[in-house]
Amino acid sequence: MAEALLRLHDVKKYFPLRRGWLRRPGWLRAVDGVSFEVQTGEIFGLVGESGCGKTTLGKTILGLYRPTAGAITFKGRPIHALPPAQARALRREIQYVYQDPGASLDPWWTVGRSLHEPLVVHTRLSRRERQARVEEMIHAVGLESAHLRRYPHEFSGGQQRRLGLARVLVLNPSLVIFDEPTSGLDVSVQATILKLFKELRARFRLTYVFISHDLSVIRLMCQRVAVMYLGVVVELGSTAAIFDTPRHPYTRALLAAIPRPVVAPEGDEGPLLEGEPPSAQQLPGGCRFRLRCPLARQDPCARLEPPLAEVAPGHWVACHFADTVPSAAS
Amino acid sequence: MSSAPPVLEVRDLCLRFHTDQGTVEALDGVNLRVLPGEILGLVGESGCGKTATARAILGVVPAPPGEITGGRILFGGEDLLRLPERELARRIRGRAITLIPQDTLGALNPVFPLRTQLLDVLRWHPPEGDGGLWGLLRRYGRRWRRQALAQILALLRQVQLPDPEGALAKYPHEFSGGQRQRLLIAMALLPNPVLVIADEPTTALDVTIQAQILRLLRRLVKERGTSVLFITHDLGVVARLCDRVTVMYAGQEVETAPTAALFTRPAHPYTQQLLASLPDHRKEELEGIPGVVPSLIDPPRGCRFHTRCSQARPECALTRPPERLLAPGHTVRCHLY
Repeated sequence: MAEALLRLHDVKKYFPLRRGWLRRPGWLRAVDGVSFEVQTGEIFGLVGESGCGKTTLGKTILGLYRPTAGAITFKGRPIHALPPAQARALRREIQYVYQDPGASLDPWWTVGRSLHEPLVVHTRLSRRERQARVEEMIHAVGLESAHLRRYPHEFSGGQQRRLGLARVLVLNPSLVIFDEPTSGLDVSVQATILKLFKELRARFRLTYVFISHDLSVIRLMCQRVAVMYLGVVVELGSTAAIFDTPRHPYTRALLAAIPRPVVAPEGDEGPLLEGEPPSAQQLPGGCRFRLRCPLARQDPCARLEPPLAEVAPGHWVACHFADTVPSAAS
Repeated sequence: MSSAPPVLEVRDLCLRFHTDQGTVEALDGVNLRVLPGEILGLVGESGCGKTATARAILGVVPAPPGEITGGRILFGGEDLLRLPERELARRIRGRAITLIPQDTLGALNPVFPLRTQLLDVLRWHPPEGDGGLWGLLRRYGRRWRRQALAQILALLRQVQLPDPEGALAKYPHEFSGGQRQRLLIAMALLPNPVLVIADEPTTALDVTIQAQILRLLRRLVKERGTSVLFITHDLGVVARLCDRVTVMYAGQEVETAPTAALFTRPAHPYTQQLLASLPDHRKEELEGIPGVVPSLIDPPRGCRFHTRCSQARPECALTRPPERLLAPGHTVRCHLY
């Protein structure tokens, strides 16, 4: 296989918990040993519920957080250990699209100025060259040159997503990380935005990492998916494997919980999870999911944390009972 | 379709907001009916007037800038729009019609423990009738308090809040989002209302928690025979929860149907395109709806969807289509039918 564009090896990000002055009762293990690879040109999905660590992981890949442990290599170079100047040059190639692009644009700047800024910081292009580049991108995302003179509040939610994308694309990145790219959009707008994402990926040969809690968007867009629960990847595989033959009980419950626009007979909702996820500050010993898991037993679930193991080619599951879970889910 | 008279009937409701930019025609002749014991979904995209309709029913449209310019809201044989505010506050709002809001933290008072807030609901909106000043004084007595707390605890158990006794002494921020939503469901059911309006109650929740809450809500209201007007933008939630659905677009209702019929035989072009916009991995291409929602300051005449409709005809820009009955319980407002 070709060298992966991005490779994470046992990445951990812990945040210290402080209570009062100098008292450190422990660590919040936001990301707790995540390993996966993203191939050039693919759309890789990171899915999970709030608090599972998917955004922290995205920001760690970008280098906004320094990993507590583990290695992140991008195009064969370790991003976490580079000297600042080189890290900055590398960061041109990894761009992050924030959840709320309206809030990440400066309200006092025209959109044109916001789009120029990354080029001012990262390149030595002349003003005219920058303008050409900015106009090319604003057209690529389906807006017009006249929009550059406007201010962020004059744009609708869907247009703001387009602007957020234009701003990262001016730098010609190779990897774009999207954090909840369609949250808060109406479905009719979401559809056009997702279509645009696909077109631009083909046109600029981009690789995407899609962070989302919306499984139907992930299923539509991604080739491979990692399902996270409380800081770890519990299942990783091709989109077809994850959605058609999920093996981890959490993945199965998550899929059953999506409200689908199909009228099902009364009570036919599949297995619903009981309870809520425990706090990441006080994780249960053994398997993290065992407190909500329908399959959990005292042994080995409470004793051993299940490792991510390959159950089929390219399909990895972290469950002691991955083999006993019926593979054909309805 | 049941022949019982509807619990709530909204007829030709028109609502305007006077703003600096002009007059926003927020609702333009909205019609809907909630039948006894059913869950009616009110669906549409942001800005289509779902919440404005709910606010008009509850009588909490801020005026000014809001102004209800026409229509009737019939509830229990009365027109709520003609009822004096005093009556509305005493008998209807928070009592016969209650609300489950989306913003759970904003709906609870951060400085009082839960016990106080739940007792206040029963104190001011007792299911048995308020009994005037003497009634109110009695509800500050010890005996009433004991009975009320028993009633509250029973309901907290029904909404499956963990440790209900302990919960009474806690403050709103000590609960998770899902738990707060359970609390607000309990709060809305406490006065034993005839109708509950739920405004996007699960939008802020994770899917596994949302699934729990929806199942709980459906079970509780079906047991009690309470009617629900469920406002949402999520068609998946509608499919799971609602008995019938009314679809809104830009301040007008466009289609009403039993849930199954809406998903299998959507009639209005807007409904059809909305369903086609849903992410579906089996489709090669996603279809959005071309164009944008029109400004409601100078809205399109006739059918407000005609500016984005691929099947629009000349008459669509002239008159709003009348309501056509396609099948029992399935009505549409479109000139194609």
